[in-house]
Amino acid sequence: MGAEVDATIGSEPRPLLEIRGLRVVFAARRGRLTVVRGVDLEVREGETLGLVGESGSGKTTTLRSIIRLLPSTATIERGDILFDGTHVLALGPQGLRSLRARAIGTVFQDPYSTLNPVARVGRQLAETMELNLGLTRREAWARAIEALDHVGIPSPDRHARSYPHELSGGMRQRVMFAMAIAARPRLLLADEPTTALDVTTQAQILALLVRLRRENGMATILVSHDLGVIAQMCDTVAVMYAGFIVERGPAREIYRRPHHPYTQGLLRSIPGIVPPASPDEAHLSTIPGQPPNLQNLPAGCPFAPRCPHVRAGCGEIDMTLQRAGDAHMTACPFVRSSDVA
Amino acid sequence: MATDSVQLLPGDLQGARSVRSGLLSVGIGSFLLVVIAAAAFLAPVIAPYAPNKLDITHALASPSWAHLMGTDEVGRDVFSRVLYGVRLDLAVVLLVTYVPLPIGVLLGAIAGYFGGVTDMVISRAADVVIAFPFLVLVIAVVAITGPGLWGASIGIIVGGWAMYARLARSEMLVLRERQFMLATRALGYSHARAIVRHALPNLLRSSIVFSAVDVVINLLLLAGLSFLGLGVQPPTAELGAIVASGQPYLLTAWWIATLPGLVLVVLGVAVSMVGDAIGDRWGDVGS
Repeated sequence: MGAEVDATIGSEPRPLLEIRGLRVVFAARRGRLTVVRGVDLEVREGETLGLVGESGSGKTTTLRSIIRLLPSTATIERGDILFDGTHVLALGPQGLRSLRARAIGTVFQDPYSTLNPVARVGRQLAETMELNLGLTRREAWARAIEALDHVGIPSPDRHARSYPHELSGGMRQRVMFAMAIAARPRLLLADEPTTALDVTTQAQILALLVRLRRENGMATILVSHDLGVIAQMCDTVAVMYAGFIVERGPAREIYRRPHHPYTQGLLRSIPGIVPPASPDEAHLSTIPGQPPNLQNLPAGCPFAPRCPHVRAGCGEIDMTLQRAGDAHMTACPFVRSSDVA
Repeated sequence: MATDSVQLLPGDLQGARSVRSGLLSVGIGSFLLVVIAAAAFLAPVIAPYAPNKLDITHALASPSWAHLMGTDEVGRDVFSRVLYGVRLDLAVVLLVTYVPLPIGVLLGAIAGYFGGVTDMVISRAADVVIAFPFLVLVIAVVAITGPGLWGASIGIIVGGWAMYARLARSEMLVLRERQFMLATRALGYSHARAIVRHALPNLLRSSIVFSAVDVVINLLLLAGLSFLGLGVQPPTAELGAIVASGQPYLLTAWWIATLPGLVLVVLGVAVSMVGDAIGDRWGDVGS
């Protein structure tokens, strides 16, 4: 028994999802916009990865690349995406459809627009069941009602017959979750699933996500700009800035010992729970400067212009991740941090 | 779950003023439309004479209780002919409006959804059709098929799909960016399903609103073609044809051309009043 366990740990099973050197370029009005610049990520079976960063850092583009659901102006220029041994970038239309239908579920940010406004909620959910599980119309309807009940929609019989505008944002997001997990996918992509919701609803939706993840044992990638949400939900965290992953590691490590100056800045800008000791301390720390202009990035580290630790070598570094601790990687070769408060 | 069930229908929030002023024209419009359509539908029952029954002894009789709209040059009862004429016009107009509608909407949806070369082929075809003056296009088709009811109908259908295609395409361009269309792809649905099941129900509303205007245009077009002798052929009773046949007698027997023409105008106004109301109520929802 013990030997077997050791063997699995020793051989380190292949991750469920592996992204290598992903580079995504958008055709913009004035030239090309490189939104993702060489991202490496992996997600193991059952693991939850948090993808953090400000708007425009490439989180959503990275996530959508996994199911190749990018706008027509975007091209995946380089890189490889391996899902359970399949090269996703080499899939034909049929393979891609079955990947999206069965293997990978997706929940989008805005539950107000992700449901078809002119179709009943139950019908939309049943349609997914019919297509992706091969059920008959009647079976699918019964399953849809079960699924609505399962994601915590009260009186599912009645709400299945409602149109999307008759449901609250939280309920619509629950329906989206029910649709995304209908085929029991092994990976769930959640693109800011709580951003459009109010705070109490947010907590309920996150609790639902935790429960579904546990029940189905599925791996999850959670994109958010909310560090609090990520801290609560994720096993590992990857921090993105200007299309690069600047730091990656176990969530606990990242929060306790952030190495990259950008991560440090992000963590310092979260309001604390403890009231400040003096009025002087009541100011929230901010990261100075402007978010980067993707069309005109400085050579080397894109964060250098805003970095408090900037030095001469910053223009020459190539942003590859370096080991800074057990499974903890950072793109900054200079700064290593002890604990931040 | 204290957050549930917000029940607010989009229509509830629209200005009460436009609703009230709309109500009057809907009332008048639908009243006229219902009366005319019912009379036309019941033509075989209520028409006092057969539409083509000749009665030379009473030719060119002016309107009277025996002949509400008088008689024409061969003694046919104009009122009876108008009833049958409206009946034919309404039936044909519905056909030539609602056959091209789904064709155009589907083509437009496909163009907007896929974009690229598909879009270019369909959009240019629509442009070509729209670039022709509609009447000229229809006359060209009639020249091929030969004058008559079918020729005119085919002509109107050939020209009619293009506006619906253009309308549906532009709406599809907006719809395509909506998240639920993205979601259909994330769920692995086929393009055909995404277009037919998820996009079309959202596109149809504006096309149906537009079709209310289209009905009026087609009504006048059909009557116009028949008036020119390209549409319905005499002796079949049709409003445009009746007006044409009364034209030589305009000074001596004004009723033959004038009264059917008046019916045509009233019918057109009634349809467009109802159409406007439909547009006010549903035209701007769905954004």
